[in-house]
Amino acid sequence: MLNSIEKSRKCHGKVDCHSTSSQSSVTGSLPKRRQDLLKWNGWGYKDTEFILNEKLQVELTGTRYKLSGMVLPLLKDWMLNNFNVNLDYVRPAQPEFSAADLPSPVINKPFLEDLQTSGLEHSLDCHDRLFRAHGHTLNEIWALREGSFNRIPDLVAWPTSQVEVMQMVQLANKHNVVIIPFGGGTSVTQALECPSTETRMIISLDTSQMHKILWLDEENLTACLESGVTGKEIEQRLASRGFCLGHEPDSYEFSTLGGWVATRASGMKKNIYGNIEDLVVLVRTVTTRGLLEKSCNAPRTSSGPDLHHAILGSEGTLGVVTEVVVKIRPLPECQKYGSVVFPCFQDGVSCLREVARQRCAPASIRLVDNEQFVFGQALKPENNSLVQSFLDGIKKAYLTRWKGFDINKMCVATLVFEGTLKEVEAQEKRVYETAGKFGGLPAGEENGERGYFLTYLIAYIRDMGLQYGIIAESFETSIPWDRVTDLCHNVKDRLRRECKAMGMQHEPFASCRVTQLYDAGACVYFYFAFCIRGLSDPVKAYEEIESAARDEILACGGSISHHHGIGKIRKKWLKQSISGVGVDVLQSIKRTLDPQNIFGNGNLFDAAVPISKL
Amino acid sequence: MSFSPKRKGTYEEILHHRSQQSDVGWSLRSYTPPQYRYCSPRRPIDVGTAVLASPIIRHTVLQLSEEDGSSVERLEQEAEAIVKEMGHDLGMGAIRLFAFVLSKAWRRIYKAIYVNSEHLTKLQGLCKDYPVLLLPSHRSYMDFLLMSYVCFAVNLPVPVITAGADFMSMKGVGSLLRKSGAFFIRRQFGSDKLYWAIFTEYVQSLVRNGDAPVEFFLEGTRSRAQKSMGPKLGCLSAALEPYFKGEVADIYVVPIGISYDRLLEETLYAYELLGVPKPKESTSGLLKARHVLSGDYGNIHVSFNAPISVHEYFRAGVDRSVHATLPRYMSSHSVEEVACTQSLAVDVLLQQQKAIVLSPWSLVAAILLQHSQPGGMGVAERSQLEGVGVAELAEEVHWLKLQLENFGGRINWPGGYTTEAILMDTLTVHSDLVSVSNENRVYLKHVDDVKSKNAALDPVTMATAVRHLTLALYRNQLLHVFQNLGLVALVVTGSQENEISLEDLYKKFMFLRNLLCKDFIFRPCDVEKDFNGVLLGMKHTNAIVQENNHILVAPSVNKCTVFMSRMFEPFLVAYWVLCQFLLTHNRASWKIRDIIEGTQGLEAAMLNHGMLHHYEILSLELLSNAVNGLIHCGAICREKAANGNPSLLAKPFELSKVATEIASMVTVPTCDDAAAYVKILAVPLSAKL
Repeated sequence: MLNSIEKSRKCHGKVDCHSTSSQSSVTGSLPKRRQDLLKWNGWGYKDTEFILNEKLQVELTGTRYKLSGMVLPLLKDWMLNNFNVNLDYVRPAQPEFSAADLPSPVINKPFLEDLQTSGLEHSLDCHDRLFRAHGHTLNEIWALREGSFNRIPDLVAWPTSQVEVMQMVQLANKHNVVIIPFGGGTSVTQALECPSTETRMIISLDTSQMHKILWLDEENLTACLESGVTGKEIEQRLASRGFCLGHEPDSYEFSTLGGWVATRASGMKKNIYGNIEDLVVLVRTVTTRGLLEKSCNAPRTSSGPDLHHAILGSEGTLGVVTEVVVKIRPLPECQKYGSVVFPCFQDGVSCLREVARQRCAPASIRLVDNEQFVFGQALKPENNSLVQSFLDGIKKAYLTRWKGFDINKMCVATLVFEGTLKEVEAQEKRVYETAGKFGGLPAGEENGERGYFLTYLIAYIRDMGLQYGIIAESFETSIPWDRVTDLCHNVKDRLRRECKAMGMQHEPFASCRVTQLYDAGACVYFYFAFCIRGLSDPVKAYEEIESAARDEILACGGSISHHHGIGKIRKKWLKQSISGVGVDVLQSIKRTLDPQNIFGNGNLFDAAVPISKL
Repeated sequence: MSFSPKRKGTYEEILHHRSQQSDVGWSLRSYTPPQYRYCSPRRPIDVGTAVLASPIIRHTVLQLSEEDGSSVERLEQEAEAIVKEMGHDLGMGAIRLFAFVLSKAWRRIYKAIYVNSEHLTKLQGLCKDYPVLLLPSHRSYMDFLLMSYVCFAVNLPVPVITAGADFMSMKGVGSLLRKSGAFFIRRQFGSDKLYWAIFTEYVQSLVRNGDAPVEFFLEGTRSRAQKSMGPKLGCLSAALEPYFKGEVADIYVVPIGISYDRLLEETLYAYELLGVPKPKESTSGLLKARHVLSGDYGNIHVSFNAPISVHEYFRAGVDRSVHATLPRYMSSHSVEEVACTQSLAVDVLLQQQKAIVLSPWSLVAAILLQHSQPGGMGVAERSQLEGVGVAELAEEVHWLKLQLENFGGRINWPGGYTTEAILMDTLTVHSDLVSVSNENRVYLKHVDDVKSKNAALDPVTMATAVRHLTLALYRNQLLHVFQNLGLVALVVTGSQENEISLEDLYKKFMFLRNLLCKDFIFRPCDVEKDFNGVLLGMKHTNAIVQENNHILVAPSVNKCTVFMSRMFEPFLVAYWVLCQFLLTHNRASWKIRDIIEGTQGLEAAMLNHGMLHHYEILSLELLSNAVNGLIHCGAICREKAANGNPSLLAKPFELSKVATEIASMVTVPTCDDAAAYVKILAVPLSAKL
């Protein structure tokens, strides 16, 4: 059965309806007071949360997602079995901070006076400031739930246009005030964290009020967007005109175009639409030296090293991305999910490698390992239909008895097909045929679909885990094809053994999936979770383990990051990754564009500039 | 009386004491060893196919074809033939057959096979998570059958084993060994790139897929002299490469010390050491060896040491990410990886030694050897003529046992028995070598005259040498315990001064460590640690007396130091004769064989003239180590002769320095005997050269 686009959009949520027009008067999906809509100390919408209901079953609250309001009867037992947790052991989050709990703002008086004169919108409210003091890295969420912050932005500003951003940057440069650009706030690399040693005033420049589609060019299939627009907004507004961008990172409900550019983001459907670097035609960046931009919307130029690539991945250290011209595509006629089960992970990887070799990958193809496959099964909603559960029983029996699959080894690849009806049919045929050569059996649309919405819910599940003393995080890498399987095995092994070395009694949950295919390799994404009972400093333990895992990744020939970026947590490996000369090159770009280190968030590397003239 | 209970400490007996008493039942029992979690099961023949299809072999074939123009087809055929010659054929049928047959045979000759169980549970768990390398010491043909037998008995997966290709040609036996997991490598394949590539890929394929633990012998060949030999790194570095390249998360290396109360090959080894040609491994040779299948061979101890995680071992010293930018089939070992592999190999050998459980017979052998030398412990060459009293011997054995334990040796010493009882038991096991008279005196048995192809060695000398060397084999088994102690003792007892400063002692200690580096296993970086450690131990046991920074010589020349220095004396004497041989023969270049045979002849002459008394110095292995030790010290130089063959160059100045240094520590013929030299030298050497 082919699903219409309508259905596909439904699966990401029942769409908290915003206007779908592209006129400049609409409000963006992120209000200025984000904490009114979003959790102040966890992931996502305030109304959406996994809870244990009175029957002690896991239930998703709210109405936004397909699973909202449903009971997931298997999830609790999965948690109990995999983490050795006890429901009596709870670690409730601390109550919301009051002004007294937070560091009082550092005020640069002349700057503030100038700012007030300029009429640029801003706030000194402590909750506005707190919301922009963090992303969603584990230790940041931990600090919100159980800890504290010793440095948060001193002021939040909401420019509404490129012109206002330029004004802000000029003021900051004049008064030597730090600017940290803030988009969706979904960073998982501590990139939004304020350097604790920073003594200057820190402004969080929130781009959320720059969410307009400035123009749309149907002839050239391009659109010029302001950088603060979120992924979901973009797709909704473009869809109303019959187009799409097709960039869907896991965070796309909240993350913004500017953030994608700044981190070199990657989208789930990059096989059709490309990653962010393939999607941008022109980027405008406001630096302390003025506007950095190209002169035309030509599709490709040879004019020395591509300066877009200095900005892509710059992580807010060089300036503020304000406007981006992107490629757009007509909406596909149909979208369809699918899945294939494989006897073991290695077979699945071999199949993906073959798909990449033939360059016949559908919009998305992801291979999850056995651990995540089992986890995915635990997310099945309550079955009101006896027939359905009967069928599930048959399917399992068929796989294990007839086909000889080992339930403890099998894994699943989830698929998204997009295109015309004919294209999708042809793609399906080719992919399933290829899979068959590696022992893969088609396993239905539902399994595929569940795999994808797990992606959008995983961060909500993490919040529930924290409640019961389970901490969880994800990290990723990219690696040549011949090393993919070994990397997965080795990193999972390293995670397990580091946990053991720390004296943890129970094995952690260590799981991975291959999420992106390239000609020369793949992107691998890891989930990692463990129970913190008995650990004196769980976050430090986590950080040490993740660091060991990254060492292992590099040792296996993997990269420092595929799309999360460096931020602050991976700075120590940058030199090893791009050589000392490489770091010097980045340093000199930084020195040229930002001699005073106004964009002083401290990401990538420690800027070799005098920090303060105060 | 039973010296072989079911359980001794952590050791468990597996030959006679098992829950299933019938051999048939036991060998057919359900056997479900742990399996590596990422292993994709395959038949032995599939390993060969995988090797031939591997990128490295395809690459090597293409490269060789480009280099010398030979056709790819021919090279591929060659590769196929090599794989066929190499391949193991491990199957449970042969294992169960061996389990049955060996049980029957061994019960007749062994009192017990002991296996320590302390690390077995851990090892069984590790076999599931990581590839495992089993690295046993290698002192008998029996080792590899024994290892497979033990693994079967304790529910470890039966290993595949690297075996020398000389076994392969034994009719019927070759294929039986293949079926029990052996794969064969040629002893010499020098620069044959294709062979090398296939061999390493074969090993790596097994490690990567974790089909079974891979077993090989770090020393490369059996140590006929019964002390560890320097490691050969080929197999180990090949086996570790999958770790360096990130193909596996870790590899566990298990040092295993195997000891036999009595060797099946004891006289054979003595002959081989003297250069009497070793019979080619042949089936009929093995059948002749059947007569050994009666008689009492005492106990076997198989000691598994704690498994070493290669990952933990290399963590600090090796950066694996250096292989990230080359295709996997191309990357070779980094300098750090080579150094760490070398260091790991030495550590494994030391761990093997540490694990080895010595037999009381080693103590007896060490004592009898000293008794058979003039001046040894004040008893003249008597053990043959007059014998040694059992009580006297027991007292000595008891004393040496205490020394051994004080310095970290492990000995099989059943509790609750007197030293005399234990002594009598071990004398019974070795009744081929010694006899006990009615008057309770111990005599060394007579050995028939032996002919050597080295004309300089007369049959009577050879016979004495065989007798000495047979004892020396067993004494050698315990030398590692005393190797540092012995060197200190040599310096102290040789000193003409009243006291020695620690600094001088250390210098001489270093000199000896360098010189003897091929005869004993030392960690070069541990010189200082070992030195301080052994001094501490010696002070503690009153073997030396130290005041301030000096060792007082008089009180430090005592029973312990004298005994120990005598134990190591023969080594230095052999090195000294070798120096003299080179110093008195002026030749532009040498072949190692000529040096060794010439020295052996000179030694024989000096022994005949009563100028020397240590017959064991005739050992070719010792002389070969001496040459290599002198190369290491810079007294002999390696060169390439004009025709491209390797040759050796003697460096007189350095050689005489070494000789003088040795002469300052042990008794050697004095310069007054110079006239005698010439006379002696004239006879055998002119005949030969």
